[in-house]
Amino acid sequence: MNQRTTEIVYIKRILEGETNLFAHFLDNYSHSVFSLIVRIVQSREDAEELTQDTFLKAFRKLDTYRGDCGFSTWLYRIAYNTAISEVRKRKMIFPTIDETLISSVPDEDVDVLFGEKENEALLRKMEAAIEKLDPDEKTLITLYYLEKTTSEEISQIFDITSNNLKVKLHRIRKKLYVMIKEDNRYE
Amino acid sequence: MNNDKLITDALKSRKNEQLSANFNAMMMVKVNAEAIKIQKRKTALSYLLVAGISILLVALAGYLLKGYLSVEQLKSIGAIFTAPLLSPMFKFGVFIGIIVLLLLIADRQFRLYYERRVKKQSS
Repeated sequence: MNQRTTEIVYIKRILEGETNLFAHFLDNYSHSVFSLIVRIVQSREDAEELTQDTFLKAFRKLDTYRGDCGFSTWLYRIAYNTAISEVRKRKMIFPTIDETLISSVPDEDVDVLFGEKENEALLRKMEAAIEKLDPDEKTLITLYYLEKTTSEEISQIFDITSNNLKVKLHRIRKKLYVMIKEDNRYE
Repeated sequence: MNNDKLITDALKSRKNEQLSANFNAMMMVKVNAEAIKIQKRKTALSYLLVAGISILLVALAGYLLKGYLSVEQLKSIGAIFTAPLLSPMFKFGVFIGIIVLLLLIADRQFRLYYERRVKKQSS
């Protein structure tokens, strides 16, 4: 039995009253949901609270899960929407970068910089640059690089085509490159 | 693109922020409370539905009786309720009431038996 089938069976049993089986989903996904949310909201305490909200929402809406995508995809979508609405409530402002500057960066330069081995200073700069990305972009790279979510799943979470996803990832890499280079200029 | 080591390492640095150790246990308490709340809501809703349908049926019956029965016939039905105790009309009313009650009890028992059987089969 594959993972999706197992999860559908679990969901069916939970809906029939075996509430304790929900622990299976908490054990499997609470840490990844938390690490996604903490990236977006930047605060451990808020992230924990929003993780709770995410799982409660998932439990309440469990009967609406159709099984047409993985449970993790469905759950990440709820987590993303929960975190994004919190960020919108706070009206956080993120720096914008000139689009022409981003599109003028050659791909080769980005590949060279991002492929560099152990460089503590560069790593700190990258961390700082990631913090400055807007929530959508942070979610996208967290899912892609950290959680190793497939492109197909990310497309479903964001409700975009896989081509659009590739374009977005490409743009984020270049944006990070520009931010790191600008950081270097002010040193 | 997926091999951008620098991005992956930078993202990992924040990964050391962990959930509280008792998060899952705490969450299960909340989930169980939520399940009870959902169950109560469903029960209340079904009672409301039954009450609504009953009122509708009584209203419909009243409307039909008014339209199809003559005043004399309606008076004879009303006599059931106004008949003195131990009169044949009153006894008939009680008899019908007892039969309805027994049927309702039997219906409930059959439903409980059926639910138990389904539960046993699924487990």
